Amino acid sequence: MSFDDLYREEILEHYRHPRHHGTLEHPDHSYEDANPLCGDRVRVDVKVQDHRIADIAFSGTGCAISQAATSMLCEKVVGMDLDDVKKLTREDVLEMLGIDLGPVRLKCALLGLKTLKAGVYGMDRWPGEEDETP
Amino acid sequence: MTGVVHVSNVLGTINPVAEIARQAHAAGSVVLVDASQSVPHMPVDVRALGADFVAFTSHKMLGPTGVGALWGRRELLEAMPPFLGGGEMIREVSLTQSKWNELPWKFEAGTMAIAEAVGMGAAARFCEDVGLDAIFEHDRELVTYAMERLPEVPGLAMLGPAAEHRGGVVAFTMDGIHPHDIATVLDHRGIAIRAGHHCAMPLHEQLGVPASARASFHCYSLREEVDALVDGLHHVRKVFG
Repeated sequence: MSFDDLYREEILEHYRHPRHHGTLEHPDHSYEDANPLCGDRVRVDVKVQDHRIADIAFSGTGCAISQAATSMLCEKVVGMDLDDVKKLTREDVLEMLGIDLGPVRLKCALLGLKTLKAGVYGMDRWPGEEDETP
Repeated sequence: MTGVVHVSNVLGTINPVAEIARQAHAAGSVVLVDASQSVPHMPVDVRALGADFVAFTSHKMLGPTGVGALWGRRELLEAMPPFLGGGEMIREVSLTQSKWNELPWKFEAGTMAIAEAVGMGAAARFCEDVGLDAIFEHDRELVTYAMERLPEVPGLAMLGPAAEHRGGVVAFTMDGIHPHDIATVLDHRGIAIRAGHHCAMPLHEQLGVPASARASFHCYSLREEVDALVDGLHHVRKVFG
């Protein structure tokens, strides 16, 4: 894959101008997670109404892939039923990004989804995930 | 036990190990030196370091992965029990007791990584043939040149001491750009750097940066590659704004 594919203009655009960036006052769910390998850190705040995501905001630091993926994810899930949020998979994120990623950068891409789902499930861990050490 | 790195794998700082060892010994501590970044890059005399243990790894001295060496003061090694059981570490076994083999076999249980150890030996001879003084001079010249040129890149900050106090690495950050993105862009231009914590999270916390990018040199590195690195970083700046 060429460089231009990896940093598509849409990804760079989300990175430079992330949507839903910041924090929410009195969120119903708030969860923070980090990728110890690279130092990416994401916090996701969610407001829930009628079992749907009424508002969402994310904050933290990270690479272009993790920030853009989380920004795109936030745009996608506003108004979404929580059960549908729980059904989101890595393929959904990769489809939004429109790129293929190796194992290291895949972690960056999935950090936002992992954090959102952990918050929605109220759990600590991505199902089936094994511990990683730097 | 006092553990200290001889040359920092992040900042390149050459630590005054002999003085640190002297003070640690005065306080009654044994001293372990991580020499993984010094043994492949400069002449090292383990006795002059004043350490009790010196460890280094093959994969940082142009050798295979998965193998390394531990030097230790004989009386300490003699006093230590084996950390692993298996063939060769035993001299005699009866139903009631075992006697350990002598050094170094006491610590070499089972089938060792033979191919890797032979490769490490070849790598060590190669480094000695090139000359560790020559490698150190070459690294120093490149790191000095890199530290002259890197500040040309807007928003770039170098970490660590001046070139005359360091080995052949230079770590840096760029305003608003994550090191993984820097590394990926450079990778696509054929330039390999390391990005992340470099297994030194507390140091990065201390420095107040989430991660860093690091260029490393050895005898095969060229001045033109430093130029390519700087050109690449200008491109990184253009891509991410």
